[in-house]
Amino acid sequence: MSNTVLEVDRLNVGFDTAAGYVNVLRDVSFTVGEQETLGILGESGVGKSVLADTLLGLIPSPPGRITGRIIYRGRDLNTLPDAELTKIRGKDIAMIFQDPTSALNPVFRVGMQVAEPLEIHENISLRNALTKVVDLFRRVGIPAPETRIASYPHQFSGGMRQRVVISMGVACQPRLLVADEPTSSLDVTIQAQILELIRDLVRELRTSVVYISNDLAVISHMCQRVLILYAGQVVEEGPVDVVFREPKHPYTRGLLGSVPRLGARRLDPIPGQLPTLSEYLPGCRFHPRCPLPQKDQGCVQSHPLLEPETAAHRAACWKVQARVG
Amino acid sequence: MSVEHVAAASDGVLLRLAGLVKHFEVPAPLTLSNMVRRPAPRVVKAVAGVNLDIHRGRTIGLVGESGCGKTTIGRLVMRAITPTAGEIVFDGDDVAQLTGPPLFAYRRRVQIVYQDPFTSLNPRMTIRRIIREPLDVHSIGAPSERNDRVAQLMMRVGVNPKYADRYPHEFSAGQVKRVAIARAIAVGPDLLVADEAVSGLDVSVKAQILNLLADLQEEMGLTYLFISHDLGVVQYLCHTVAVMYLGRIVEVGTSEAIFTRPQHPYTVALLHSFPRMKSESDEFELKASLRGEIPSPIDVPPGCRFHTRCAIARPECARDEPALREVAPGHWAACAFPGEAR
Amino acid sequence: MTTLNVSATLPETPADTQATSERRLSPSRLMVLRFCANRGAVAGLIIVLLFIAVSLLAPVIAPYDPLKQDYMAAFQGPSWAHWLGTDSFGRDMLTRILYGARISFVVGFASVSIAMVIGVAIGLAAGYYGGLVEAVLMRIVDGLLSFTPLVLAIALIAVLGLGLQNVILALAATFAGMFARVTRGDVLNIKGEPYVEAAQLLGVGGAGVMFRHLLPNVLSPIIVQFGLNLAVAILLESGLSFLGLGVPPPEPDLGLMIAEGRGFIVMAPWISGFPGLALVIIIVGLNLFGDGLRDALDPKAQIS
Repeated sequence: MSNTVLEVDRLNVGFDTAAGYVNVLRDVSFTVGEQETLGILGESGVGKSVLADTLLGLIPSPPGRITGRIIYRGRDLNTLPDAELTKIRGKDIAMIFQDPTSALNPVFRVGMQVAEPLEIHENISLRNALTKVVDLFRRVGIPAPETRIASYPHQFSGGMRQRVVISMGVACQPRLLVADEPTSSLDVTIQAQILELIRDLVRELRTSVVYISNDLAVISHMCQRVLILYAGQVVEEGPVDVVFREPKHPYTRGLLGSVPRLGARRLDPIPGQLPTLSEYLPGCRFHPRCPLPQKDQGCVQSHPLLEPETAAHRAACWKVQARVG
Repeated sequence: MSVEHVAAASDGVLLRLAGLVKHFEVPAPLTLSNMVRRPAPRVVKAVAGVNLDIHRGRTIGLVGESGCGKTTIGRLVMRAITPTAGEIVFDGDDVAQLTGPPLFAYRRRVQIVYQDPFTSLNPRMTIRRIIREPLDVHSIGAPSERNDRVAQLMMRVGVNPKYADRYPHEFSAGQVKRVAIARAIAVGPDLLVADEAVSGLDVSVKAQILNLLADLQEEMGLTYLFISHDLGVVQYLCHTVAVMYLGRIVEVGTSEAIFTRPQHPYTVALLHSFPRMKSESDEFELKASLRGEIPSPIDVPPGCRFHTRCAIARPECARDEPALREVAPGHWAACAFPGEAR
Repeated sequence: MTTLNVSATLPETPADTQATSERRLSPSRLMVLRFCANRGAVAGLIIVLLFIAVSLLAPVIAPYDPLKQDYMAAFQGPSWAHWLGTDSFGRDMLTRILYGARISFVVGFASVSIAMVIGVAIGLAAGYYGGLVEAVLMRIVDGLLSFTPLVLAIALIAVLGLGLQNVILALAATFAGMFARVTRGDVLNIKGEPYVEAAQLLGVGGAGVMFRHLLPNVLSPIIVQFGLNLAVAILLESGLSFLGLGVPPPEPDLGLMIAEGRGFIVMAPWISGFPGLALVIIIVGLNLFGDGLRDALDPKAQIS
């Protein structure tokens, strides 16, 4: 548990558009330990998918501009040439996508698609790969796997398709899985099955996971630590139980107050709405909606950083840090 | 006809669904082998006999997964489609087969809020025209006053009236949803059908809209039929909850009863499947207790329609379809062995 | 259910109520940007604008009377007095071409406009009502469209007789079918959108739904059709005149002028040549413009 599988250091991701440079992620830093599931919680548009794509080296630059380091096994993925990245992608670091329908190519049989990473990374023949695919399908709970490898994606139900996508992700037994909202398109009972499957697989393969979601409850069940993302920056980080029980950052508190539960009195949502990319402020990006009193020039002008690494539970807020210090 | 229904609470019953049935025909697929003689079209039994009472001023949640029929119920109540059989008794009158002027009058009393805010508003109409249209169609107020009423409605839902001449695409999802709500309440309806009305919204926006809906209900005495797959929202907002599976209601009761003392095995499984914040009581820890996929409403299992996935199914479950029975005051479940699943 | 606090009627938070103009880039603005990025389209637009200007201003800017004959000046090539020369009757070519363009514009615009009104109405009704109404209407449309436009126009002229009005009517009938088909197709696309159903569930009647909700949202492809059909209409009109079935002489008409110059191709090629060139420029310009419109409206095209 003490070893770090992935270290992200001050990652900045932006894009050069016709309207100038647009920043999406600002100074994102975190680590993922061995066999640890780190949750990335954020609402829509905060850059979660961009983060996932960046971790897998899927952002073309130009027009993307990426600074900062993504250190995997001592190497900075940002500086690696494409040829090296391709070797890592799918084998060491793999992704489970949000929408299984668009993650699978509709004109190829699923067996071929799942076999592809096996063929490439383990250098085995298609026939051998397909044998492994049958085992994979059995492991992820697809009935009659020997016949199903010949099916096309549209012949599966949504839940089954997601199992196929998961099997593709774990095929080469990656050390790090990036799961981008893998259950958002599924029915509740199917979602429960998939969540259980992911948990079992993660335990079995002893892989680390970066689990991206906008659902607080799912994160609280699947992850040990959580990172809260707002407007492209990390606002809070820490163990899931602690963060959700005693949130430090006003945004996290607002989020928790917005979750409906039985017997709760009136919901206490954060007023206003998420800023769009073009509205991102140079200082603290949350301050227009922040309910804290006595916000000052510091909040307006300079963007707050997470507290020093020694703390397990940290928030990026000048007011919070001032109180502690 | 013996009609089973939830015992009336102290409030009156605004809407009663009795024996409601809706079948859709799906033509059989054309294959080489059946080109000469096409087999009979298949029947999707979307709603297979539903009895439900909706009380004035209350919110009833209709929950279930794909193919359970809750969206179809919503569309039947809206009279977007006509039932195959059964009655929809609104304020004493059966509206199930209405046409013409009486149907027009009914339309004023029931309105709908859809899931996707942007496709539910005409992209080529300004906000003003969108909210004004119901006023014009139903001749509400004097024409010269209608623009004022539009401004009032916009303020009530939390959108600044000075933006009345903008188009939907210029707003965020939450604001467009507010506009859609404004349009729905413009005619002063009795009943609002919310079809996944807050699904797909961000957490904080969802909370704002839920507050708005709750406030409007208090102020206007609205009745809500809240169709949703999000158990967290239903649990918070709804007084009564009905659980549907493959076209029938399998359990109905107060929100508190359903979520703390579920009787039907499907409800129990749903509650187990639904992730909740760990800080709450973990009576229903997250576990996938249902195997398999949801059957299609074309091929409903015989006997109890849930028996193929039920954890406590007995042999008789494959034969006899259980009726909704009152297992506690105001709490009904369609199971031969209620309360046994955990 | 726990009791809820009743909040104040007015929203407290200004942040809540702001619309941001950058929320989503307006589809109209995107369309204009895409159009301007397309050089051919812009060239087409310039030609079309010139064409319209000329048509409207012909009586003002033309140097001569288009009908005035001057046998002394007949068969002259381009010169300072007659920039584009004269024809077999001594009439000034430039003037006649300007007036001829004007007639082309009037006939083309009128016929396609009439076709649009009729065709769109048919398409809306067919798409909205479906069933028997759609079947009957679309079979009539299919019948109309199964004829080559020129053949159909000739047949209609044969029935209606010669004359400018009849040319317009015949062309209108030819194009109505195209508008009907395009409109119906697009109506079917958006018929299932929630806002259409919401209007019906509000109690809005058929006409209201068709004209307030469906029509504004199918307008774009109809406008493109208008542009493209305009080019064809002008070409057809010239063709009819060339065959002697269109505008009767001595009216200046591009097709007619080409026909009149046929006998003198060798000795005075400009009598057919310049009207022909004018026609080519007009048609190419209209086509470029119409294509540009269509590409600009293509929802799949992205601005990088």
